[in-house]
Amino acid sequence: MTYVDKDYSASNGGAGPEGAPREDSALRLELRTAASTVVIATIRTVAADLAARADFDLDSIDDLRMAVDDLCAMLVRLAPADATLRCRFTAHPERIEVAADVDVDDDTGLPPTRSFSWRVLECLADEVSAEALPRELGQRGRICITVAKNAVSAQQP
Amino acid sequence: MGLTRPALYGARVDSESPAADFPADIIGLQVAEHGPDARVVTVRGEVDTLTAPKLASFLHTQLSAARVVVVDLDGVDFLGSAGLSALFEANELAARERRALWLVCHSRIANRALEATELRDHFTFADTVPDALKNSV
Repeated sequence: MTYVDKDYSASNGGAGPEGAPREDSALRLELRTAASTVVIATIRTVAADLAARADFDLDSIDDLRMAVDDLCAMLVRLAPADATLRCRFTAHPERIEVAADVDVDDDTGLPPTRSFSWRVLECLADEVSAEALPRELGQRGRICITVAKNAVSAQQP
Repeated sequence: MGLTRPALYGARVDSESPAADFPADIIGLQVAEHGPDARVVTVRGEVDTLTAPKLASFLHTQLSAARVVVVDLDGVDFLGSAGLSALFEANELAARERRALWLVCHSRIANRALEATELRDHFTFADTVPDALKNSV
């Protein structure tokens, strides 16, 4: 598993004096792994850890953990054997966005929005979307699922 | 990921070779018979894409053998969409076959999963395993 924190230097070295507002206080973190079910537990744990550090309430931490588990599982199901799963997390003080994608073969469609998994994902996250990223020269196409979760869970009716 | 916790997690359902068991699935499934008609399934650990098929087939087996199946989820510390789906399908099977499937669940995480996904109302809950068995007589 590769850990990439692209903005590490920017978000720390680039910060102003203690307490000064930053232009962008988001923490960005990217995980790249084989698209395999065995890594999903680790990825969802990273998501829950980020949520706890972003001061999410307990329900919202659980919801994000489940949502990330679900979206990774959906992508792994679509992925051919040698594909890479990439998860990019952007943690704001009260909101986390997760954009995850996998390589897919040409004839692979988006995950069905009527499926049990998709319905569960919609319940857990505040925003959910899926898109097919066009194939670039010499590369396979990719399917990307994006979710956003706010720090405080919406009140259930 | 050294995730085996043998002291906590009892019987593994399948016995694959140790080499194939990394990272370890951390689910524990145990069953106890209560007379000829009732079984109590105790689920511990994480019910996710890796482990949900084991739960599904375990519940299927118990529902084929007993009229009343109580599923104790108190020891569950992750319940993902695949696990919810396994429980949901077992519940549908129980309804079709006129079996009683009870859930006992004081796991905060499992309860949150059932609530956030609005699936709670599909299931029948009992406060304790003895309550479920008593109500099924």
